[in-house]
Amino acid sequence: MELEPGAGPGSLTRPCSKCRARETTLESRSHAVCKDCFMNFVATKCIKQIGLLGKETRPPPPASGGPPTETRRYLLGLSLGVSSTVLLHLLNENIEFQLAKGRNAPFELVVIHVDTSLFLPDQNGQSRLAPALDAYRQRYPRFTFHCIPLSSTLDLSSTNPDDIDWSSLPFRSPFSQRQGSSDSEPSPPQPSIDDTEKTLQTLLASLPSAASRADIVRLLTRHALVSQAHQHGCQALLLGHSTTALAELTLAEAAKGRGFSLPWLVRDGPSPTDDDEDDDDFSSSIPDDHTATASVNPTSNHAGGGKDRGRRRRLLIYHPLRELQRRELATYASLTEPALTPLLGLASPSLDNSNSSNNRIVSHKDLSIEEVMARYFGEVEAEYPSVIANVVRTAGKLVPREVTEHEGDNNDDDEDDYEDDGETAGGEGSKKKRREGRCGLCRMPLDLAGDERWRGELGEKKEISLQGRKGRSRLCYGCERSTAG
Amino acid sequence: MVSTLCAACKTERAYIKRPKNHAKLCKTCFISVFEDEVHHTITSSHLFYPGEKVAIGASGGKDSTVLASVLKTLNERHGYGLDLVLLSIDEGIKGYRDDSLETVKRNAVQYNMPLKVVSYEELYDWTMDQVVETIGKKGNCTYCGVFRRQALDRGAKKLGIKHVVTGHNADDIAETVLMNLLRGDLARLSRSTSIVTGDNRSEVKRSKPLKYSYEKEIVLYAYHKGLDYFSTECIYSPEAFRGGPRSLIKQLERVRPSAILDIVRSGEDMARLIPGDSPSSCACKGQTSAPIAADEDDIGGCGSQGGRTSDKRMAAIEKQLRENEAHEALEIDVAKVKSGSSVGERDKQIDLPLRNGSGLARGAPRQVLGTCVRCGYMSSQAICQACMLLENLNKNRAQIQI
Repeated sequence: MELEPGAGPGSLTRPCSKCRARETTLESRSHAVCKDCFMNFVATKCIKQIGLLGKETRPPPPASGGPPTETRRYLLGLSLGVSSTVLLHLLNENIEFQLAKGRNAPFELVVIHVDTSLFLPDQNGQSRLAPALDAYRQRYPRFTFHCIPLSSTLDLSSTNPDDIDWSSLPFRSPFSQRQGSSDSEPSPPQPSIDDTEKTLQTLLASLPSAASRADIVRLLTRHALVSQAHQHGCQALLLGHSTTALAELTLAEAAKGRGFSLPWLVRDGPSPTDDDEDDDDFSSSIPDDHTATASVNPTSNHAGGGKDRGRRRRLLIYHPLRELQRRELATYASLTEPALTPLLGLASPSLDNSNSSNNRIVSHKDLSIEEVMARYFGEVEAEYPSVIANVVRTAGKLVPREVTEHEGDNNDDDEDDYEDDGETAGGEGSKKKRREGRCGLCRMPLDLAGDERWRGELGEKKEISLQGRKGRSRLCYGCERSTAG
Repeated sequence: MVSTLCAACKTERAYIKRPKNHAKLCKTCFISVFEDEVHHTITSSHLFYPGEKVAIGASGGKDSTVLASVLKTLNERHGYGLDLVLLSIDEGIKGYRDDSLETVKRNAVQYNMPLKVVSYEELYDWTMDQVVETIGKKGNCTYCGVFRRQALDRGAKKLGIKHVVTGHNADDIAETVLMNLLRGDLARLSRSTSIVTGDNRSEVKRSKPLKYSYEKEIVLYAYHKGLDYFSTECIYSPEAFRGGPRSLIKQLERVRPSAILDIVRSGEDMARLIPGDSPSSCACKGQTSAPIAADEDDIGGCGSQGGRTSDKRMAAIEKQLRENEAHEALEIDVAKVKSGSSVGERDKQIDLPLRNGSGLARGAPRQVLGTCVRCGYMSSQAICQACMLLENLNKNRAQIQI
């Protein structure tokens, strides 16, 4: 990408095609540009999306009138890879820009890294990623950083309709004492960190393949981020996916049989596990001051936070870098002053891309679907950038469906009126319906019509499991494949 | 050495590891499982009715030979009551088609089915050899593909048959799903995943009974049944490629055997998520102003090349998309806002006819079927694709003769 620097100072041998004032040093999207124009281009692409999000999350004006007093609060999922680091940097720049203009900071940002390494913390209870995170804290003192072990997803209360229904899974429930429990059973005592880490390790080891493990780790990571966003009272979860990453995600999820829930994953908008019609589950109150965000309070089950003015806090998921290619972000990271590259080196080398969560558990010989896609797009990105952008556009055109009408699904009569129930049935009833209409693992809407039609095509006799066991959530096709092989 | 027993019958020695799910089966059980699955596909999709006359598009290759063999077996075993006919297309390629046609002729005897051969020469007055002579090897597959699609229908009509079955397999469908995702052609994605194509207005419907059968299993079936098929690649087919969706599918299959079916499933599901009938409800330039050129029958190509997508095709798509982007840059802001936020939710509400000036107007949806004014064959344009191509060819021929 980088071109030879110009011949001599003073005379412009190749003026930037955009500003015409500086020497060309880069080629960006078939234009020869200078560094400043390139940096500006990247920042603009990102800030445009942040602006769109800002409109979506505009706080309501106070009852007394006047300008809004609440601040927007976002959560950034930081994988410590290039893309999310660049996003962090751009968000910081945006805030600094606004402050320099004498305005208020446009939003607060909580940064979460989900540690998927499954290594136990050292004696001080520190993750081995602590030094890496410290470097980030030092560089961006404005933000709060948290490192959450992936096993934290095991602690999520199962009474929550948006959390994983462990009983739906074919393998052993992480907490055996909870097995067969009903929704109303109180949470068991909190197991120690070591225990949960080991439980998660066992659980992942019981999966049939590396591809399945990578898939489940990805799901759990997303669960952890969404759950953290709710716990921190955030209105949006920001993910660092580039165009390339979204295209990879699109094809990888299609290859895993998750075509039905695909639109939910690649679009910007409400979280699929979110539901506007229910108003109780996640309206956590906003912590009073900034320090409160440091402690992770499981406030999610308390109904209707008073500070919320009765408005349910829905969670939006945004990908502000969706219009930038991965290699553009890598170039950007090397050009900031100081460069972001040293930060990236602090995490293990395998973290060096946005699919970080998938790289650690996989052994050399067996790859995950994500890795196959990453390799494919690594080849394709340079040669066919428009094709990549087109994949993302195309996937975005699909209309996500909440729950399908089911043709001939006689086995679950009580679900047939699911769609009518949303607003009329309140409380536990509709919550239960919601659980039933969703996959027990990824929490995406179930495709009952598709499952019905598909039965038997795989040449396996165990399609019955798609039906779900009595009283348990079903799994969607993709999760069924990942857990059963 | 302790040998594993067949997972199905538990008596015979397991001999085959099924590509689809790695189940270990004996030869007999594999064959019966394969047939049972095709039977399941046929019955669950209500593909046939008793007494129906069905033409099997037979190229002499593994897919269509297996299809003919399985259909004959199932027809007898389950009493479908089908009247099966082999329908072959003679593209006029010496050293390739003449040999494979011999295979089909033997198949007709082996399966005791009538055989009908229609040739490009009789339909279009051109053989593929002549086409290649005129236009060169480059792009000849486009001609062949367009001609074949029509030729199959015309051949069926000549036989008074309204249903043609083709040997497209799960790998072909999966490839088309990925291809159409890359190409951004949701309408074609939808069409290619459905097991039956052609609505009431089209005179001949097509179906793909092997839609869920793995290419590898088809090869195994042909091998273990000792079927007589022709395995040479077409002499005009593009060379081996790199970076096409077919290679991606093969890699995915290695990582997770079910991946091919998973892609098919995703494709079917995504087809149900497409807004409206046409993909162009978003006024995206890629769809309305400049449809990306591709073979009309883009699944599995001509069968002889195993439906592989050439590198060139990816390049062609890239080129097309870039051109669209370049056009986009000239557009007014409304359009820009639109395409930029095409993933946003609100986007769906904006449905303005943005570009009347260029290319196809939105008032002319692409999938309205009419008939070609020249040949009378069904077409969404005034003149069908085949006649357009012929016009080109004939111009060249005239010049050469002068």
